[in-house]
Amino acid sequence: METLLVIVGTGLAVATTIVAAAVWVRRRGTENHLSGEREAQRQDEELRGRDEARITAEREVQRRSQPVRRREEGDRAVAKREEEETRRRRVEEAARAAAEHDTGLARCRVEEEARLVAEREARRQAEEGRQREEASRRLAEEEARLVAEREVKRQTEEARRREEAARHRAEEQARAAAEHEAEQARLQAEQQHLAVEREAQSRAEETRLRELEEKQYATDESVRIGTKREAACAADEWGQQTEDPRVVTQPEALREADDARSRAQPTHGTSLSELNEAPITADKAAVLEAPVAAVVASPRKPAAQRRSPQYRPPSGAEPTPGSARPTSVNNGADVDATRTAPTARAISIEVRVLFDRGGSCRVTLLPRRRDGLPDECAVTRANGSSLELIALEDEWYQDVAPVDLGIILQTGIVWADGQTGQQWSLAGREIFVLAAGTTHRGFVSCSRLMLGREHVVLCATSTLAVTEEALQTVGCANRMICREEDGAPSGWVVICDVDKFGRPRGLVPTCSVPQIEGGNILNALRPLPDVQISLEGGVSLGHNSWLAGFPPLIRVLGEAQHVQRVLIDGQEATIGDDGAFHAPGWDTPGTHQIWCPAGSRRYSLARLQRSWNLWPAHRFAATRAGGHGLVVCGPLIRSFARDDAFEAAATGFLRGDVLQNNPILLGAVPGQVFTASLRQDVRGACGFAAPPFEPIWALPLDPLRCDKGRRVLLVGDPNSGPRTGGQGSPSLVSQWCRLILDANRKRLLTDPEARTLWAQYTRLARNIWRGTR
Amino acid sequence: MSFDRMLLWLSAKGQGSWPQFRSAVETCSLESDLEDGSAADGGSDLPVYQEARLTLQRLGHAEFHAGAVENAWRIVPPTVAVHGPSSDAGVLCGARLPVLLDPLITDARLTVVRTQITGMPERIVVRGTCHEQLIARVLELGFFVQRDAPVSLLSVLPTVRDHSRWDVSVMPETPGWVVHRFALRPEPHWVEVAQLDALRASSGLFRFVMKHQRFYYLQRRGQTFSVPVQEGKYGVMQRRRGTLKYDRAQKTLSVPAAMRPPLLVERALVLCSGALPQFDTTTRRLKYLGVDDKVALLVGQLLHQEIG
Repeated sequence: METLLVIVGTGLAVATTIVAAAVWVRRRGTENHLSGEREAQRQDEELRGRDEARITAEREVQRRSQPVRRREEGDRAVAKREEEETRRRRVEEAARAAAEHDTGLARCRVEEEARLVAEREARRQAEEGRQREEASRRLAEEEARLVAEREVKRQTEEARRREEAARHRAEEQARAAAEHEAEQARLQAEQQHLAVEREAQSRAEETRLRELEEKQYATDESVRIGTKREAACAADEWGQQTEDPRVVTQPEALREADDARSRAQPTHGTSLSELNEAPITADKAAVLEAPVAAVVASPRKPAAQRRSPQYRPPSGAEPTPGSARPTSVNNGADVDATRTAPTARAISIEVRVLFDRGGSCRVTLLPRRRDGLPDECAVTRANGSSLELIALEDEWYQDVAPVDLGIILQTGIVWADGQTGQQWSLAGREIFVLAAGTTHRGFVSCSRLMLGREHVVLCATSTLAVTEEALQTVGCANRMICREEDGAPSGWVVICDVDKFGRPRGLVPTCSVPQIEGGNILNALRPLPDVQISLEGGVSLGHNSWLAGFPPLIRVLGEAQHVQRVLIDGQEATIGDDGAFHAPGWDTPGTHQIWCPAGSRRYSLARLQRSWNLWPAHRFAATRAGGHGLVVCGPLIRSFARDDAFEAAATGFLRGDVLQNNPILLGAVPGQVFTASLRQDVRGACGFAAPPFEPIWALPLDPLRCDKGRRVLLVGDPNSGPRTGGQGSPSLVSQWCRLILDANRKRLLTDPEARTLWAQYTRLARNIWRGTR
Repeated sequence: MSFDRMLLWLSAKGQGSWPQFRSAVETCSLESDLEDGSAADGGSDLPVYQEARLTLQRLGHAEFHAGAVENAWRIVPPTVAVHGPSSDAGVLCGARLPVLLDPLITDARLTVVRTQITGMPERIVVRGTCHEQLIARVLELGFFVQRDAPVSLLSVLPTVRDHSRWDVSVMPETPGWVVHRFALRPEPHWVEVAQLDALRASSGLFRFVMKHQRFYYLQRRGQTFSVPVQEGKYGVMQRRRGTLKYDRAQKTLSVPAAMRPPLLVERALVLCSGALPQFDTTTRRLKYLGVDDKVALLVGQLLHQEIG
């Protein structure tokens, strides 16, 4: 401070001096230039003196201020040193920080680099892995494709081999069948030849025996005549005479028998040995000859040509009263038809007649079907034409109506399936007998008329007269004839009965007629007096079992005189108005037994008790029911969660009409909230829901902002009050409370009887809501 | 009586194969019933067993070729299909056994009306004192219940323009098929076309027939779908008035006999009255009875048609 003052004082002094000098110079300047010079000199001297004084003062000041200056310099140096120190320190710190920063940066950099490297490595590895997967997937696809191709090729090859094998097999079978037929024909011819030879031999033997007998007889006769003469002589002597008519008639009888035999022609299906044993009236049996393909001495036919089978009419077996035929399992279905097939392999073709409401008829062929045969097969006929057989059911193919049906019925037919080698055959004849009440509607061919059963007769026009005569004798007096214009095949007629409305119905033979021996075709129109128990109608469950409440009609078919009594469960049965037998308790659930002199039969009536389960017939997308699927079964619609069993659908919410306006469902426990989704593409559709709880209330969507006219609906048990146990997640509980309080806030109404319950829920919701705040 | 016996047999058996069903049709002699039936629809060329199958399906008594088992049938559980959301009457569908029907008929709190209609099994309508009482009582008796059955069923069904349920398929290229195209002008009918034209077409409904086989294909934007014929017909039809006609006063909905609705839509319409549609020989239209506004509206939307 002193220094400063000194400096300032010195400076002021100097400044004052300078100012004085300047003033003096100006003053002196005005006086005289010379004097000015002198003055100037004097001034210079003064100035010099002043300068010297100044210099001296300055030196003094400097001398005085030197310590100060030194102090100041020292201070400045110190300050400078300190500043430098500070700067240096700062620099060092900065450098250190920088270094640290650099180090950190470096570390970060290193870390970053490491991370980047790691990332790059990971990416590279991922890329490699992906490429490997891609390659393996491509490889697998390629392999699968190759495998599939190989499999397809193999299957194609196998199919081709199978087809070839089947074709070879069919050809082999056809060739074997042809050879077999040829062999059979040859054997038959040989047998015939042998039979003829045997007959000739037997005739020769008989002739020889006859001659021997005649000789013997002649010898005896001569002896007898001799004796007689002697006797006569004796008688004459005694007056007596006798005659033996045998002497005259026997040769005549023998001649007649020979004539009869010579007139008798071998009838269809009758062997020559049988003919030898035929009675003398065999000529009457030869009135009607069934047309038949000649068998005796038939030439060997080419292997490719199939022969129609021979029809064997029912045999003339002597009927015995009370002889029971085996009870039929198929309600009287004729099981003899298959036995008429010419070969064990061939399946029979039946004939079927159907009547329509106008009274016209339709005649078709109905092929049978065995296990293992396909649903569809193409069969060929002998003339090379083919037709398709389509399965009707397990044991039958559908009807077939060939154009030349009239000829087929007359001559018979054989169909063959080239693939399976199976054959179907129908033996040709001039009269077909068909029965109703078998396995099919309408009338299906059977072997003969049966007493008490409805029939129609299909006969060739050439045999109409004898057929009608035969039907008259069996009690079928009322008849209607359908001709070609009514639908019968060309050259054929259908004979049936009519009801009181003029509608076609079956003929019902009422009396049996003795059979014609020798296998006459008219035997088919002569019902046997056999008695059999028939169970018809009702609701059959199979295996002689019927549904309780719908029992079968019990009929006993056959000659009435052979049916003395019928018992059902040991009790006497009586005939009702429907022609069926009844007895006390015959239609009660359980097993029953029918007895008649011809045999017995059981049947049972089952009262079904079963539980019914829902099952999914039609399924629909899951988006229509709040994420759940929908199934339909009949009129039933149910929703169910994905992967759940359909039985769970029974617990689905059923009131779809409610969900349209009230899609939010609330349960009794807080947190039980379910929102049903409604269909958007169709207006007016109802909703479906399958909530995982028992819904109690149905609320509108967004109760706080809905129309005030909406209501809160009680959809559950009116006694189910709110429960606090097992609450859901806090958010759901909050939602549950909020929905109830919003509805309450909006003052949405509910049913009067539900108000108390709704108040309970509101109270609980409010308490929970307050508790969470 | 034949159809009743048929339904009894189906109820007793529960389920079976298609050949068994055909055998039962033969035994029950349904031909006369079907010929006399009111739903003659102008002379169907289907065999009698197919007619019988369709009748039972339309009435909701049995389901065929549906569910897990192909080529089979199964009886529907005994169900009362209630007509409306608050109706006190319902139609009995599905199984009918004496053990089920007897308690229903003898129940003092229910009224059972049985009506014989030719061409279908007996219609049984169950009526209670009110909606809730009816439902509660039939549930107690062991029946299933479907409330508001017609609307519920229609609410489930997709529209005819929904392709998601159609099977992508390929038309047969082997020769021998008789092919028809479904034409809409002047009125819906089938027109025979060459098989090659059908294969090349980019749109339309085609029918391929060979012997007893019959397939329907819908071509749409170059893609081929195998569809039921009814869905195909409505799928190619444009939206217009006149196909569906609704009489609000009579509560009847009619469609041309050649434009029968798809099976489940038709089932919903049949459930309105419990009877098959009546065929009007003059107009050649099928008339469904007891159809209310809501049902008609839904049907129109599903079939993509205006209600006239």
